[in-house]
Amino acid sequence: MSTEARLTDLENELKALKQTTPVSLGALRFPASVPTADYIGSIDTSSQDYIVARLAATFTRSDGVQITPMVDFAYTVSISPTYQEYMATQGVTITGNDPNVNTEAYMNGFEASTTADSVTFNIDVLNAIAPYAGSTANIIVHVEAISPLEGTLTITRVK
Amino acid sequence: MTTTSKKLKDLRMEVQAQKIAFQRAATKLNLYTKTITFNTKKNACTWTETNPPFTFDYEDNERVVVTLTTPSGVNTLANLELVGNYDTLPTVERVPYSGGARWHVTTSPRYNWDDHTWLPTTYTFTVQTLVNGTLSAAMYWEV
Repeated sequence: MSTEARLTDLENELKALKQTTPVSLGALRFPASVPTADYIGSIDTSSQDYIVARLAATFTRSDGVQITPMVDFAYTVSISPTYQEYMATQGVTITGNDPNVNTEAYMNGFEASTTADSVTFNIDVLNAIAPYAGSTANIIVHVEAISPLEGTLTITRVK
Repeated sequence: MTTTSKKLKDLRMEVQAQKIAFQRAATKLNLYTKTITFNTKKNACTWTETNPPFTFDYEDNERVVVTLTTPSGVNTLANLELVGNYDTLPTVERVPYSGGARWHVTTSPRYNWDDHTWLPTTYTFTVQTLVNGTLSAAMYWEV
């Protein structure tokens, strides 16, 4: 390869790097879509524990760089039956503006640990949802990782 | 100027430009601050039994949806800060939202304990965000 061709390759490589880097001219660029992960399982609603389920979601950057990524986690926990659905089976009709607020708001999410290339976020399902619904309820935990970096998201149940 | 010399000059300029861009990026990341004040509305609910007939009205916990909407529709890293006259510490959850960032803020209803009348909770929400946008708040059932 000629010297000129090698220089051209180098120039193209530099330009490509500028195009793909997440940090550019004082602004972070965010991907149009975000990695997501779901957990489907059940909880023991008769549990006396304060935390009846804990899910750990881990975002790992995929570019190979060993610097802990910047990432926010967004999540929802869906419970079936809902408070409204369960009370209906007991002959009680609950109506109102936001009747299921108590079973949908008693979650707690927090950053738990980091490594050189990942961040783990814990989601606790609290027993405030437990006083109803017989002995078990089904849960679906949906998590999204918002980051300017490309990466993968996994979720596992740890309690 | 020979082609090789021109290429070398282009390369030097490209490297210099990237060096400036990275230094600027590292030291001058934009951070936008948005603030909004919001009063909650009553989460009015009704409990009805048919056998024997029994009905009562009550106020349940209040879930506020705080939304940062970015003009380009991208999601962004953002932090929500809040102060308010709540009686019970609110729970704060960032929830999935395509188009910026969204949080649910939930706390118990507030009362005038002299006559047990319901009172709105007043929040001031502040969002620190890396992408500019508009901030809004509404009750869960209004979104």
